[in-house]
Amino acid sequence: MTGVQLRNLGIRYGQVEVLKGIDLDIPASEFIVLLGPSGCGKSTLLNAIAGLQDVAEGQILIGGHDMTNVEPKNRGIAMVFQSYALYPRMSVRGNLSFGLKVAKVAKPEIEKRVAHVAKMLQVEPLLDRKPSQLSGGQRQRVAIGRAVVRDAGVFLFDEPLSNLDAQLRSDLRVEIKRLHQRLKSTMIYVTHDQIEAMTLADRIVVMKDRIIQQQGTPDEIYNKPANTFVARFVGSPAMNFLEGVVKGGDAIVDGENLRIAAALSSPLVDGRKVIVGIRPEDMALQADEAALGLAVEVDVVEPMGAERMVWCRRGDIGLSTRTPSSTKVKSGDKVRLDLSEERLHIFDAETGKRL
Amino acid sequence: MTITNSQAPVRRNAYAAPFSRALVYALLIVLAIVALIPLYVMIVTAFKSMEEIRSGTLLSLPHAFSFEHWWKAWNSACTGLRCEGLKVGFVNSFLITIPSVALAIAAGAVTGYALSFWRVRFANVLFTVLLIGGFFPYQVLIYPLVRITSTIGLFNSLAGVIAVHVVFALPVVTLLFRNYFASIPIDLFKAARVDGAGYWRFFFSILLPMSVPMIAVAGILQVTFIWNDYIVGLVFGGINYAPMTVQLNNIVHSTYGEREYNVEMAATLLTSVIPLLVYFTSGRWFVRGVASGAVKG
Ligand SMILES: Nc1ncnc2c1ncn2[C@@H]1O[C@H](COP(=O)(O)OP(=O)(O)OP(=O)(O)O)[C@@H](O)[C@H]1O
Ligand SMILES: [Mg+2]
Repeated sequence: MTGVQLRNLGIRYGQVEVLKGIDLDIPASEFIVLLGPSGCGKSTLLNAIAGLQDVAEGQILIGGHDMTNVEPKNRGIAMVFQSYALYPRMSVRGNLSFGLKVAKVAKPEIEKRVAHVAKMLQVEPLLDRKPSQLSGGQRQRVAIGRAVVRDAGVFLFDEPLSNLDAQLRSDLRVEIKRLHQRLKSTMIYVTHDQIEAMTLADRIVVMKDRIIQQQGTPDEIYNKPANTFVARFVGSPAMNFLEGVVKGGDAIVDGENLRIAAALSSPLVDGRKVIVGIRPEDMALQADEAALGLAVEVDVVEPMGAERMVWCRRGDIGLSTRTPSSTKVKSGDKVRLDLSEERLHIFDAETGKRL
Repeated sequence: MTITNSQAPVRRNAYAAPFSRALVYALLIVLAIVALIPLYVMIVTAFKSMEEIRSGTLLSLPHAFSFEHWWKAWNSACTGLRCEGLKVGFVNSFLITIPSVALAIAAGAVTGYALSFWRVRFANVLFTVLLIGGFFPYQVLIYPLVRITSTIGLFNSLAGVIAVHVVFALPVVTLLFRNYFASIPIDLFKAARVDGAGYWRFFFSILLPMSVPMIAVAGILQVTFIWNDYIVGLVFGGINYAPMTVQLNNIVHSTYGEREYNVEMAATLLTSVIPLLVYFTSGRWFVRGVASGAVKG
């Protein structure tokens, strides 16, 4: 099994530094997801691991060997692209066997492996078709098959599902997870879709502004975001933020006292400016105007079947929360939001870092 | 949705109006006739006897169809000192056109590939030079090329003509291929590299099979261009490798005594048979190539 290590990796396009100081240790068999907004350098990083992108500084180790300057084909990797990148003039069979042919694998062995992979990915009936005669989902299956057939220790996925519709996307998501359980290869998966990240990953690496913002299990990323960016980026709808000042162990937000001590590891000095974050599901909406909690006015109610999203306003601040469908509220209602104290996230107002 | 569709019905109505439709057809028919009259005159004249040509009207059909003049044009008309007809030039034109086109396409495809997929040093400079080369009036280069070819001993030889044709074709063919390759997603290239395909493997196994329409377009353009070329063949081919166009000109301009219009017309038509055939048989490919983005940009 093959782990991947990145040591102080830096990448430039001409003079522009796209990634810098990337340190990442991916143990063998781990499913790691690189998550970040568009343009943050996820594809660039993946291409660098594949050997398709020159590295300005740092090292890439695959299976313990320095692969920084090794040709892609010799890195023991396989890659799946967002655009499928199937060879248009070759049949599905041709696509699956091309890499093996180039590597001069014996014919019977090629046939055996192609048949095996075709079966695994349920593309057997399609083997003699051209890519143009396949649906998007089938194309991506073939592209995944082309990666699997290489028998690589490391799989690289660059947003493989983002060209597919919602239903197919969730089907293939499960399929990829199953593939991982079966092959036990190391998988590095790039996406900007947080659902994919949360459902697939053993570990998520959140990237932005040329650097890694946080890495951790989906649970850590969700429940202990390292800064306001991660907190805002992961979770849907996004975490709510309130600005406040510390006073006597509480945070004073817009004239209200929020007890934040429970969310802090060490007390903060008075006068420190903080940002208090709270996820929509960590607030209870109290229809009773006299109840405890933050007084707000209901702005928009979105029924979502079992529950509702309620968008509230408090002056300029918007706050979203979920309530069971049984809670009857409508736009314009004056209600209260009861924040659960131990679920608060406290960030430094200046640096955005978690406190 | 309803907004975006608002164009379609308007257009259909415009064409549905019988009057404007009739107008369009009338115009097209008139233009077609204007374009076809000279061709018609050429064909009928080639079948007429000289007597009939002298007496008859230009547009009338021949009294008796005679292939005699066609045969003469092909086999025994005098093209300068020799009187062996156009067939010598026909063979020469083939000998010139086929290798020239093949070499130009091969070289243009490889250069276009290098320019679009591989980060060649000075790629942009090279590209600009090619662009300028493509629009440069080639008459200007004739004299320097005469000097160059005679210095290296290619002047007045088949190889010389072919070399000059390839040089002239290269900018345009390279640009065609470069632009076509630039429209191919880079991921395809990356996937092939991960699969272990190197420079030539990717080119031959993946890129070339995709480029068939493009090769057809370049082939059609260059076959007609080189076949119809006069000046390069005249200057560089010498007497032995004069292409059909040069011989045609000799027939038309060097007959002593009475001009044999019928033979001249037949010779002209024979000379244009190949380009016409190419157009008629490969029009489908040409359209496909153009539609697949071959010529855009
Ligand atoms: N060939 C290039 N030349 C110069 N800059 C580039 C090039 N390719 C990418 N970039 C820049 O590098 C940055 C990272 O690009 P990259 O494609 O890695 O982003 P990404 O995270 O994969 O985004 P997306 O989610 O949109 O795919 C971007 O700001 C982009 O503008
Ligand atoms: Mg990307």
